[in-house]
Amino acid sequence: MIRRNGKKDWNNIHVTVKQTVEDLIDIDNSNPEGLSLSRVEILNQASGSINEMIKEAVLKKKGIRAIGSSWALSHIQVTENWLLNTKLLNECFEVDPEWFHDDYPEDKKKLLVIAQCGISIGELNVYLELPKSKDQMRRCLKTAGIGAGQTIVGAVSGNTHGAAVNFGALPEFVVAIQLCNGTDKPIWIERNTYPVMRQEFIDTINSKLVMDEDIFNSVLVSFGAFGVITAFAIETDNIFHINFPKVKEINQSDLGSLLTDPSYYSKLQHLEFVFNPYEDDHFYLIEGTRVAYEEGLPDPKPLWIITNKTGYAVGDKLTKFLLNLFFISGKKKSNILLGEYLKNAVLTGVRGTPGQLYTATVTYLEGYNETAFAVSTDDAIKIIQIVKQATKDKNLPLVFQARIVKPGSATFGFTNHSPRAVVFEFGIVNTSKYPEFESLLLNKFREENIHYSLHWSKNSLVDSSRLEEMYGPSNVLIWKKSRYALFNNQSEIMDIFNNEHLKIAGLDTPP
Amino acid sequence: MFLIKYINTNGINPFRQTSLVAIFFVSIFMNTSCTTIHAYQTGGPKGREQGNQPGTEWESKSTVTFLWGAMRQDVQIKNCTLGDGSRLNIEEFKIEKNFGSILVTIVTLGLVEPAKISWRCAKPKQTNHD
Repeated sequence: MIRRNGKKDWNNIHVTVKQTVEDLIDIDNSNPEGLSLSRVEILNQASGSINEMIKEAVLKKKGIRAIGSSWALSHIQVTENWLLNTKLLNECFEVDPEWFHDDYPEDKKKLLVIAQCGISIGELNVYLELPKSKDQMRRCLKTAGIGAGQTIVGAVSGNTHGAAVNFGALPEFVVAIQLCNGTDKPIWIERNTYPVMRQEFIDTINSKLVMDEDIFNSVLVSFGAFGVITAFAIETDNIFHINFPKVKEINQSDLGSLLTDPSYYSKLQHLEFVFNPYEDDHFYLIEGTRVAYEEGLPDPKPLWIITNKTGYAVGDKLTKFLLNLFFISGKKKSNILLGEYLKNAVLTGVRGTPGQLYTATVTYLEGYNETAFAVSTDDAIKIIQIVKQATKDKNLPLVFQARIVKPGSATFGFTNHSPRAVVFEFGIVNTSKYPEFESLLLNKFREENIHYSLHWSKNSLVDSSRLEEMYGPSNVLIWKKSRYALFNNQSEIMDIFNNEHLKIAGLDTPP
Repeated sequence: MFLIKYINTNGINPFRQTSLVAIFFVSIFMNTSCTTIHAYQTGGPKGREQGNQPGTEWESKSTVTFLWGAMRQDVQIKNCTLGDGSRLNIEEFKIEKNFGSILVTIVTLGLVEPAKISWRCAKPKQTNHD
């Protein structure tokens, strides 16, 4: 059912976006009669209601966006008109054998689930890893980032990258998408080379089948621009453990050799390194190896918990204040930040399932922003030198964390760098220095002719020139053509999904 | 801790140390401008930490307590329900006091104590669809 809460002040989780919305709308899986619904009825109620709401928004010329868990630090998911809270659509379903397409691999059938858009990564982990029925096998996500609070659709649409060095980012495990865009009825999208569900199932969920590689890959990372994604069919894995030995300390020369050695990283599940730009030749290497699942091992200590045992934590705005203190150097602050980071945010000497290891949610620290950008592993050392110098020149308090990820198939997948992408991330105080520093870095990359791409949810700006630099005109064209095709060229419907972010990126215009 | 660590490691003279601490606390007062207390659920199935898992966005209401608590203004939470009226848990709430509300409390010696209460509802329990 739908509940309209009216005009509200709204901000994202990290309070980097604040605005007033005309109507904050909740949607959930309940129904007026209070009856329990079947899987198909739940899917149909959600997609039907959302598609009708979009049609209403078109008639009233109201912008509409789904917000997921509001984890994006950039303004990709927002609108000033109708903001749709999908977090209450949090069911996950098994698929009956007769619903699968004849060509779908037999061995994958028990590993596929249909997840509603609002289920969080944490909830999905519990659903897969701790089944309620004894007949159900234990499964897990093929990859995940450190966070568990994002909704599955939000995480995929913004291209959350994780650190699966030999699998890829979150969009890689999605094999079918149910999308509502205000056209005739909901759309079920699959790749033409990889059929998943039978036509009978797609008819049952009142959807129209679209099988197209370009459209599928464009919708995967589309941050709400194609409509509201109501469900994904995702492929999971048989449950496994990841074993993290103690963090290793290495120098730059060794790091460079490891990052360019496929015989090294091909054996790993997770690869990450952390460094303080003020330390000359010192890197902290975090390696996770996939090992067999074993019952009865203790739960690892959760990361990113900043509250101590007696309940004390730093105030919401204190971190921003401390990092802005002018009389303490960037180097001093970075040293302290690194110490805190290594203490609270690093997987070291632990073993667990993805759902046990990747559990971070919210730390209630306001005034902090992040940039994440990806480059090829071939350019990693050059990038390290650039960011170190730029950080020192600007006297900023920063710690960099980098994860290595296999490139994927999403048209706007920011991790699409071969042979592997290195995703560099840094948190920075949310002041005017944030876009300035990001801009400085990108200028340096251009001078050095390094191909980069910015994380969709963590950047200060993606304008049309940056967009073309990152993905090239041909991919921008594919994405735009796919969008027009899915909307049947109806620009009045597309308009309601054209938020400020899309306009700045130049993605609201025809192909 | 941050400041003390800095002062200790830099051997700053006592006068400058006092000034720095004074500037520090005045700056905190001016910059943070409010106090926020968070209360939230922790834990999860089989001891697995689920962290923060809200089902709704923040909703808030201002409230005032008079006469040192003799008269209170309650906050009735009406949005933690599904569309059919069935109730959800409350995932988290926070109590905020800004500079103005703290000043009113001090000036009135606690006769009037304003605060802002905000909350987010929990997610609905998933159903088993065998």
